[in-house]
Amino acid sequence: MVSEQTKRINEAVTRAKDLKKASRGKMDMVFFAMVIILLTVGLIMLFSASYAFAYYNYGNSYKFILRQAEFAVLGVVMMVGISFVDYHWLQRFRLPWIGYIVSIGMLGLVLALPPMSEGFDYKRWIAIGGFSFQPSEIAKFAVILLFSYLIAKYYDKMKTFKFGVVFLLILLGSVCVLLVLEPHLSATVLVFMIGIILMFVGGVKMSHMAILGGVGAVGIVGIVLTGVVSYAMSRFQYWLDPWADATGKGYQTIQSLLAIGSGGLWGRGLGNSRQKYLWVPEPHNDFIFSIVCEELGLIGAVCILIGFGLLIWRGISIAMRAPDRFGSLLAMGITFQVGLQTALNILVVTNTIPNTGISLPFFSYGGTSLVMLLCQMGVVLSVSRSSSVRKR
Amino acid sequence: MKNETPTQQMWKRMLSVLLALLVLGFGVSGVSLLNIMILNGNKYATLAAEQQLSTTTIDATRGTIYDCNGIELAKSATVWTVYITPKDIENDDEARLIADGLAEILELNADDVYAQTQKNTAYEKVKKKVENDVADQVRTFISDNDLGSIIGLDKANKRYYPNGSLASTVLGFVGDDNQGLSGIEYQYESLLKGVPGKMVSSKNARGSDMPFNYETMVEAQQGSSVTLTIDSFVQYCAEKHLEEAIEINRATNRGCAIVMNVNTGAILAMATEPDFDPNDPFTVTSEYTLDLLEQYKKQPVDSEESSEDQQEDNRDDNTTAYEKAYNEALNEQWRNKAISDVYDPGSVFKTVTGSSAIDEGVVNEQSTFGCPGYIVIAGTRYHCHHRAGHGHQNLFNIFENSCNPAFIEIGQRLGVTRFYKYFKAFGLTQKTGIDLPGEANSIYYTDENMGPVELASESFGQTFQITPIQMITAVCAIANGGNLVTPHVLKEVTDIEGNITRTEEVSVVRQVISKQTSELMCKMLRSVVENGSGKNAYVAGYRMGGKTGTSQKISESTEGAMKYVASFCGFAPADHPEYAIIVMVDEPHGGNTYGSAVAAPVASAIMKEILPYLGVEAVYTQDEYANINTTVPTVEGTSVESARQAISAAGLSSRVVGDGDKVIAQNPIGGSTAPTNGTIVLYTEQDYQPEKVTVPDLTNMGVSGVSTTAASAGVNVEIVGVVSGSSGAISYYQDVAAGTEVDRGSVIKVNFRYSDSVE
Repeated sequence: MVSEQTKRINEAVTRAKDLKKASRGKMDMVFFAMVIILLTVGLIMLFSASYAFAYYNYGNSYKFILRQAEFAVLGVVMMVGISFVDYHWLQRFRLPWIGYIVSIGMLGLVLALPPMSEGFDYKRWIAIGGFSFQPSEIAKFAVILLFSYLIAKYYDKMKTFKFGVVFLLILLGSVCVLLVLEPHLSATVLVFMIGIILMFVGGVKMSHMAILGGVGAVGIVGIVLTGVVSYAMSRFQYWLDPWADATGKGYQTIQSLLAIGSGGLWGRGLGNSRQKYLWVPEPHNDFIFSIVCEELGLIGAVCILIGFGLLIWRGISIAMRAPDRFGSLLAMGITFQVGLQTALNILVVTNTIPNTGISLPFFSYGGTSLVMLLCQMGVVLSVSRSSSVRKR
Repeated sequence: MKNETPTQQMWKRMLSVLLALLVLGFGVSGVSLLNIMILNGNKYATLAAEQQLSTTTIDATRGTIYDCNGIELAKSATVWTVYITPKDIENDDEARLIADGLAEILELNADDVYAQTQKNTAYEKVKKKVENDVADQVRTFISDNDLGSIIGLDKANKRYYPNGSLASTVLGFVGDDNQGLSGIEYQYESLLKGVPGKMVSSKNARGSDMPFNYETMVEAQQGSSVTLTIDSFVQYCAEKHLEEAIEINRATNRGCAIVMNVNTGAILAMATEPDFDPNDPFTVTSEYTLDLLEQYKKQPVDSEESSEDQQEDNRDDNTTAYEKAYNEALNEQWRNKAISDVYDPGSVFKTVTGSSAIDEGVVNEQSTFGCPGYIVIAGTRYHCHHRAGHGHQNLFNIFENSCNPAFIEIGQRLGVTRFYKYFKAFGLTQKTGIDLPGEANSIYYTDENMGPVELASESFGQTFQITPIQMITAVCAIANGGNLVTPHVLKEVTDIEGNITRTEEVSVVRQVISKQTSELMCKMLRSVVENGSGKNAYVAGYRMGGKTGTSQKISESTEGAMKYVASFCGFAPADHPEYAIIVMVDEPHGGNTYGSAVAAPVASAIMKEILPYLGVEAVYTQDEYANINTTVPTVEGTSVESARQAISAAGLSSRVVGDGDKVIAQNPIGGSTAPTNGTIVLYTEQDYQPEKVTVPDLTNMGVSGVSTTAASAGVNVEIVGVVSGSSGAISYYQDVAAGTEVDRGSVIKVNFRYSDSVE
């Protein structure tokens, strides 16, 4: 009994030492710098894109930027704070499972609630007090966390069809179905892709991946045929020819294209967008990048793309250097989530893919989602601290 | 918890996903951006500019038209276009408010305005050319109801003609968009219109301006101003007397008059009556024409048997016929008769035949002509208007008598070739080139198709047609020493800064006849006015020369209803010609339709007023002195005795009414004109009652008869048109109608003419 007790105490001491060591490591300054740079540029562009809209609609040009800046400060503080916390806490107390179940619950709840505003034909938001947030934001992280946890813990079983494919797919599918019902196509696609990437990196056999691909294709066809996402189909139609309904369903896309095209190589200059004068609807939200293009030109837009590229490359670098598989998968999942969301947003804004309603990380307006994003960046930084310790 | 490090496979797969993301996600994004921003950038930028930029045209202020003394004949003033933005109207109450409010202020139909509010457009013109005061009412309405985002006013220009119909056929008028449609407005459109400016501004999606300086403004450039050779006073006199003549002689096809500087070709007046008001050109003003138009309205509807449909058709036809006739009447009233209508010049043309013959040496001062009352040319017998024949005549006599056989003979002596050579040289085969639109081409026989018969009739001005402007231009050449000058109405062009950018020079086309011929012609034509058929054109002191003409409108006449054109063309002073005048009255229907009776008195009346005004020095004969008017001295307030003396000193007599010592009032009043030998009535009591007398009929009597009748009736007579005391002149018009009650002593103008002259 005594030895048993001693052993436990020793284990606890070792773990505490490990934790202390971990917290002492340096965070990845390149990744941190990229986050701060993108956040700063994002805030500037948000101000530029939003002030005309805010002025005409609310009589206050600073309405959006001030609120976003508050959340940015809060988010940066939380990011740095979280970076000091050992990410291993995230797999304690069944947190991955709790997070997943809470997400499922909230996704169910959002469906039961009435739409946040009249005139919207979708349900994506939950409002508590003065804040509102999208459960899909939580769900994205919950899936990353649960999958990282499960894959790291049962890495050996990943090659089995039963666990590596069926079990994980059921978990992933449940979330996706709820998202489709909102309907929130872009979130569905994003969550599904992140899940699949985690499974792929987590070691699912290539043959199983092929089966997954087939199932996915069948699923998409099935969804299309059942007409659950008929609204997405109409979007698909106006993706091919937005001018078919230039003042209606194609309007946002056309205005976005006009803004981007007006930018040319060097842009009109910061603050000089004309399309933000109520031409591009809600220029501070999903279509903020079109205003970025108009003001900063192709040069500016590519610089921002490179900035995101650097962030992702550094995130993956952190993931590869992570001391354990959980941390590695976690950092990778978060990084790819940001990367995918960025790519999808720009592809939508340029009308390369149908308009699904997806925001641009660090740029688009949205306080809670910015804080969520920065917290996740904190998690990646936390992983980087551990890897820097391991290196030594 | 296991703490195993990531496997090699995880690394590989992570990197492959990273690669896929960067290539498929970011790479494709980059290619898309390149495609939109660089390869198709212009296309999208153009589309963006189309929706963002709104171009507003700023009307250029049209240049002013001045007369030769700088009096404004046509000018532009600011007016406003009231518009609404129907798509921003929020509800029906607002639409009703706007419709009712604007309809009341702008005097429109509220339902029409309401219909405009129901459109889903951004710009609906409610009313154009709204005056400043009305625009202010609209502004008050806007601010009272906070409708600034829906109702707006745009600045525009409106053309004003301050003198109404004065010189309207010369000036022309402008259309809805201020574009010149006729006359000077049309002729000098490019100078007058200026360059419209534009304002390009950036608009947000709601149509209001972006709050920043994206505006590009191109200022409108005001049009140049045009100064004409037209003199308002001369024009006014010409119009006044022409209008009077048309009324007196019941002319049914209008008339025209031109006053021209014989040496420069400058047109001082060009009148067509009846004309129109260029401020309201689409209204027929001639009462005679309006009466004619009534016929189209009153056409009887078919008998009761005809079906309703047919009646309907008839009504439609009538409406259409009326509208058609109305439009024709409009076109006619806009037409400048002086340049756009051709006519047979008749005997006025004998000036051309005569001067050609003198210039060629075919006739001279010693030539004599016999007139048995007719002449036979190639089997065609031409009668002289004086059937008994003029007998033996010299060159002066044939002009004074306007003898047709003599001029036919002269024509035959000239022969076709030489006759046509001069016909051409006098500019009668070509347009004069006057700077006005719508000059008509003359109709004539060329030398190739002119036989002796055609030559005979052309010799005295029949069987060919020219415009009045051609006729007066030819007479100017005869009067000015032989030079054919190009008539013009433009004096100079002034740009917006006041610099003269163009001055019209005298343009001599050619010398047509010699100076000697010209001088002889002047003498003979003066004799025509002083001793011959042109007596009615006489102007005391001013040595008028000229020739009358009466031509039959053979092609338009019917048996028993002969149509005539009465005209006179002359110049003064005949010993040194400065100004020429032509008066043409088309289709007079008075008792006397001769040029000598219809047109010559008009020329006289006009010249009498304008020659002193134009600074031509008067040289009076003894007889003429007797007829000069005197300025009445002002004697009010003076003693009766000194008043009498003053009046007597002025060559007038007086009649004292009442027993007072001082003159309280007088008639005619001081400063007015009265004829010499007139009587001034002097009232000497404070509460005097003006003595009333009835104006007698003073027409159809000789000068002495008029004087006697007037004196016994207690009115003064101003004799117009003839030398006082000369016999044979008969009064034909008085400016105050017989039977009118007037104050004793009032001056009545009485026009005289010689009725023994026929041509």
